[in-house]
Amino acid sequence: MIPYLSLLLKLVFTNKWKLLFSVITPFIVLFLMVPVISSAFEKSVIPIAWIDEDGSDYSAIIRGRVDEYERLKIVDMTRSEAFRAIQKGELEGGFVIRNGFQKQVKQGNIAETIEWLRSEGSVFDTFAKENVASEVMRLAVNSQAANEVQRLKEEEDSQNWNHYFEHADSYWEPEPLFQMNFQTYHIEKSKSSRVIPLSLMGITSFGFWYAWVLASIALLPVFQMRKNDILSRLSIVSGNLSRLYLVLFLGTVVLAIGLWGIWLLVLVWLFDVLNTEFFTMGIQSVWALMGAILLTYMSMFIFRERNGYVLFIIVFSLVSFSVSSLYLVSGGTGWWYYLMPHTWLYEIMYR
Amino acid sequence: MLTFNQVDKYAKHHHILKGISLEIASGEAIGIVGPNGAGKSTFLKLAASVLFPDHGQIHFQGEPYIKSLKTLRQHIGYIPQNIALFEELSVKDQLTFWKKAAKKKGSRVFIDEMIHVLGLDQVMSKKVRELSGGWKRKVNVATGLLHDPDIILLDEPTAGMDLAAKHDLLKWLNQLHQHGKTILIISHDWNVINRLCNRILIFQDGQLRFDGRTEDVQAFNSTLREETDQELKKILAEQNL
Repeated sequence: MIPYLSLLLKLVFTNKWKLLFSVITPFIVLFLMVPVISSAFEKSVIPIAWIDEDGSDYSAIIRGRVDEYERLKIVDMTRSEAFRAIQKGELEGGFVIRNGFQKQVKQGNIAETIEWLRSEGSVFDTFAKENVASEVMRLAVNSQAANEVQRLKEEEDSQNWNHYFEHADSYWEPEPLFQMNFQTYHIEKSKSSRVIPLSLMGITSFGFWYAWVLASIALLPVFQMRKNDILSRLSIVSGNLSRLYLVLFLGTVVLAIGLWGIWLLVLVWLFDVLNTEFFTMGIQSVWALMGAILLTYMSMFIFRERNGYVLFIIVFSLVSFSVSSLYLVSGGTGWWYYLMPHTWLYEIMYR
Repeated sequence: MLTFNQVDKYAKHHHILKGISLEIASGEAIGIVGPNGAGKSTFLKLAASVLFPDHGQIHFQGEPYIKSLKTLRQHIGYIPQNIALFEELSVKDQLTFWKKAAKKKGSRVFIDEMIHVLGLDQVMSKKVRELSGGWKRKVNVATGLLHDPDIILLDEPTAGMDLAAKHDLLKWLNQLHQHGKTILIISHDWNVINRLCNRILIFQDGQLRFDGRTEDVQAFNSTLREETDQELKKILAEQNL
């Protein structure tokens, strides 16, 4: 075993620059793409138009509070600008704070104080609507409470009114007294316990593809050895080729797992996807990679010529990469999906 | 030592070897000649156990050689026509690998002598791809003989060699023959055959047309007909040049 291992290492390190280039390039590309991937990875932000026709303290308070929600991006604009932007699909929706808003709220009247602008294509603006509504409700309830106290005390002092208002508002801190409980509709149980978010899946499966293909390319010298009779000679000199093939297989597996492991660690480092399940997933996904390598390794015996082998690996790995993405997105159930190593990977990470 | 009994070999529906029967005794030096595509290399590969017969049998020391493959392979040194070397490795690394990979180990004295006679010590640190064709041939021969085999099978070992390199190689092969090694060599160079071999096998179209002593080749040549054996006559005519 040792002579073969030493031979393999010598052959691998013969062209250090080529090796370095092959191993490092995908990581450099990954680092260069970090800003793009990060923006896709971060929770999606819902752009919302904010048309403040009242220009009051209350409208400013609500705008400020709504702006604190990470998932909302508030864009100030006029009504006509908002119409155009929503029509073009640049914004999910918009809210018009009508003139007289503060006055109405202070009276505890919130009906028709805010207009909700949206198009047929608007989907996520309902999230913003809930937030705006709850903030308006908070102001209205506090105002109503202050009004009630003043009515009971038969006072008209606005300073006292503010005092009552703030007192009512203090019950909202640190948490509102009443919270709206949304009923979550779970399509699949595990969707909520993903180890790697869906938005990172593309880059993860690219890493899988890269580890698989690079390890497959590492087997190419076998074709040269076959062509120039090194294998024939070796089978005579050493009795058989079993040790060479064993070392080649182990070497390929180690290379693939090493690259895959580094890729996952880089993802953890760059995108903070580390959680308790990560290590389990990392270990389990190795089986998918080993399966892919085994298929590749077997094809090395089927294809006698180097070109046929290379074509097979490239086509098979790309088909696996793309067809399995379809499986992931559509949740397909066809048996043919399971011929693709990337499907095995998705099964481990998402099912 | 090695016996071929009605051996046939096919490749992609072509009948490469047709009913070959012959016996190779220990210590013989046999030259194999014939036109391109005559089946010479296939014959040598069968003897080396790189290929196996489709019909007929090959025996090694009286046993079917399939059964005694492990033993047979320890006795065989096969030098293919191709340069069966790792181009990116140095000559030293190359020799180290083949020495360690071999089941049967050649003695240090034998290896040192071979390196010395072939002059390989001059190029030890060079990578194979940096060597000329002649040097590559020498290294190719050396790596095939590191385990000091008893049966040496060489397929065109001197192709592309200059005179000096050819001289070194023939000197070494002669030395081995004198030490009782069995040699089978394919060559288009009659000079190599005449200097080394005492028996000639002539192949044509997958058949063994001649199996006899070197000095009988010309007598065989005279029996060939001009119209059907023109190519063979041309090859044999070069023997005395």
